[in-house]
Amino acid sequence: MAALMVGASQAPVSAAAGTITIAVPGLPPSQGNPFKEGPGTPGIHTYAAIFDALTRVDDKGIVRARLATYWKTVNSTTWRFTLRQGVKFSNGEEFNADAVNDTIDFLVSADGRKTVIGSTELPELTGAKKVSEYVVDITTKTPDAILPAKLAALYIVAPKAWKTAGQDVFAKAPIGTGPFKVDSITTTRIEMSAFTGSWREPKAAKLVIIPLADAASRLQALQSGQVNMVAGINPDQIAAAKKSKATVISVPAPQVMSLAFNVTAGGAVKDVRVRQALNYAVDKEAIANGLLAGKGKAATQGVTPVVYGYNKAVTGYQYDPAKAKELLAAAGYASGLTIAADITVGSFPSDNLIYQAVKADLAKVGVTLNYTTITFAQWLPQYNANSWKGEAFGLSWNSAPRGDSSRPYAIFVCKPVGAFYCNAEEDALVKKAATELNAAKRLAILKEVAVKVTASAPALYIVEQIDLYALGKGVKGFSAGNRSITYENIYVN
Amino acid sequence: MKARLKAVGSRLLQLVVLLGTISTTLFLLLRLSGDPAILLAGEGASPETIDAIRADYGFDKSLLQQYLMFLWDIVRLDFGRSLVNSQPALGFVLQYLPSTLHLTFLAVFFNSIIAIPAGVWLGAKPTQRRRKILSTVVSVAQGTPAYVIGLLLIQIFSVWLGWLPSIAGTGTWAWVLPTATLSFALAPNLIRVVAASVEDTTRQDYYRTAKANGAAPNVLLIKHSLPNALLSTTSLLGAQFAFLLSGALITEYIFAWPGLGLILVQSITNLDFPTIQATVFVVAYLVFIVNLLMDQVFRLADPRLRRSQL
Repeated sequence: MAALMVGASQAPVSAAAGTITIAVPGLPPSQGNPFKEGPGTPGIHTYAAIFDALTRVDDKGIVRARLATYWKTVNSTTWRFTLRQGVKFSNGEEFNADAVNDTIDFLVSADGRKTVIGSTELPELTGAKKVSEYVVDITTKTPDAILPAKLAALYIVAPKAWKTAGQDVFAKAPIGTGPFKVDSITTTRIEMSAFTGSWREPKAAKLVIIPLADAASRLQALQSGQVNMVAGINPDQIAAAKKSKATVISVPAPQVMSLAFNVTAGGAVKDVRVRQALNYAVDKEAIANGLLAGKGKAATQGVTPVVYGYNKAVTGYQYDPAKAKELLAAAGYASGLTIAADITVGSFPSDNLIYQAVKADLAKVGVTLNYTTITFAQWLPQYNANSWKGEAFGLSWNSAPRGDSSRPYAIFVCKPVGAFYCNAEEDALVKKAATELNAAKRLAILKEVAVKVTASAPALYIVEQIDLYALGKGVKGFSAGNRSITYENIYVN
Repeated sequence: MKARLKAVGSRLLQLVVLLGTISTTLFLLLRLSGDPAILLAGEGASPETIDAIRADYGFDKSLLQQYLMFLWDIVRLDFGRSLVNSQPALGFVLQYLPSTLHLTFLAVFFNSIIAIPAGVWLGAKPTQRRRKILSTVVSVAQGTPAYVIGLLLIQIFSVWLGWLPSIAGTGTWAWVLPTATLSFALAPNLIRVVAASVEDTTRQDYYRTAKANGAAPNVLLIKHSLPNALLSTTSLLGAQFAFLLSGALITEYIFAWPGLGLILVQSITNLDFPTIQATVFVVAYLVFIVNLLMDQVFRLADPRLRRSQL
């Protein structure tokens, strides 16, 4: 397979100066250990400043160069990566094939397999082998068409620092190749200084990340000038933010909010007509316009246009309550239906309000939706074992960080353990996409998957989610994609 | 002397029983609350991975074995390492104790200097019109959550006036708004208790006798009302102090204040058993100490109690 991209490093335009302070909803509980956190928030707001992966996935789902500049397959289970030269870690260590080897050696070790990245993001990795100083082969158990995209979740750590400190101590003083190096980490503050030797040399001299779990106090911190920017404001705060001269930036998230149906357990949702009816019954446009301030969009399928594999020919379920009633009647539920759903709230902008709007719309077609709000700690074991008592549960179609539709489809269709929906034909297609190394053929398969799975409706697709950022006066150079903030370009004018 | 030693021994026994009961209850509740190995392994982790993590932390052993190990560990004050950040749990929790104590002392201090004079003023002549107005204001304030008070103070003093910071660690004056939030949240309750106590003393025989003997209003208030009113005031202040030691969660959230409440909630979210246990243990110990001190304060303040063997 041909290499995908060669990226260009950002050349600094001036010496690092000034402090950027950012308020975020939370800091990574595992502090500076990038393997113990999932690839999304809250870890990514911190790690994007400290570390780099071999690749990154842009906001169109295209794999771009990061610490690797070129990649190709050597055989069906081996990918060869050519590494960027002249890159240093913030403690002075050289970045080279040994560094990649060491990171992957850890990840495939018994300890590495107990980390979130080792166990759930990259379980298929089997090892790495140095070919030359800047070339490394990475191997997988089975052919993996999108290993370069998946490796966007794997941050490369400074090998000597990692080995000397051990992962527990390293977490307090993490060392990467990113634009900032950590000065101190506590549960309420991370302070960093510019790593002027970084290949992504920053424009700001200092970066301070402060967790403010409460959205109102995050915005107040910006309005009072105590922070320069905020990651995660609510749609209903946009007007207030703009009024205080802040710039609000909405970035499409590679995530579709949905209620997944527990189809394998039987019940009413086993009937595809019921699942389709529920999709027709919800006015997703109104939700996107009203509760996401028009920044989010009605979901048409399980992935968003920023994800590789999105099929724009799939238009999904347009709001049609009459058709919903018709389908429900055909399925034998003309007199109504009651559905129970377990949800977690506080994960996405306006999620609680969105769930309530869905409930109200379903009530109009005679469907009573009863929610039980649970914590993530209660949600996870039920999700893993598919031990839900109700017919539905909150689950988003998350394509991050690899930006590829195969990620959510492999979960929504025949999840290996605890499947809540399974269809042999669709599963075969998803598995075929996982191993198809020809890019054009693979994209065609993914688009076919989008058509078939959308028609099967294993979930009530609701909205394409958004990430909202607010920038204070004078903040320049901000950009973010796939939840990753480009910290090196930000400065305060 | 012998009686004193006996009293101290009795208190120590109480402490051991208290900590033992709390630890055991907590141990059982946590084991019922969920499986941290599943959280640590992440979404979609294989059962083998989850089992391996369980084995690492001893969660694969029987509940009795886990309990005995847990008891042995806490006797040695070893709560293990945080499941999330791998730091020794007790040390990690103790790092946040100074900032909790800082906020607690300041809040109780300012609460006292606001609430006691206001309560005395209200209680001395409760039927006076302007005092009735204040009394109504206090009742409304008592129903206002700390969250709202905190956001209002930030809006006024940080956003509009730009006088004070709202984020912990951002300057010399970062303590002012969280302290004010807590003081305003706690003061109404204290004002009402002081006012009611003062009012109550004005109906007592000793008060009426002193008044009949021609004591001046200020003397009546300071010499006869206040000392008696302070007993219930001290009791409430002690309770508020103990409450704050367990962390002023909402205030800590709004101001990013690195206190025990924040640590406790984060560790509960992550099912970080060692950190939860260490936090609760530290708080229980501190509350016990506060109660002990309060008992001594009562003994000094109330001659009737000095006769008992506290």
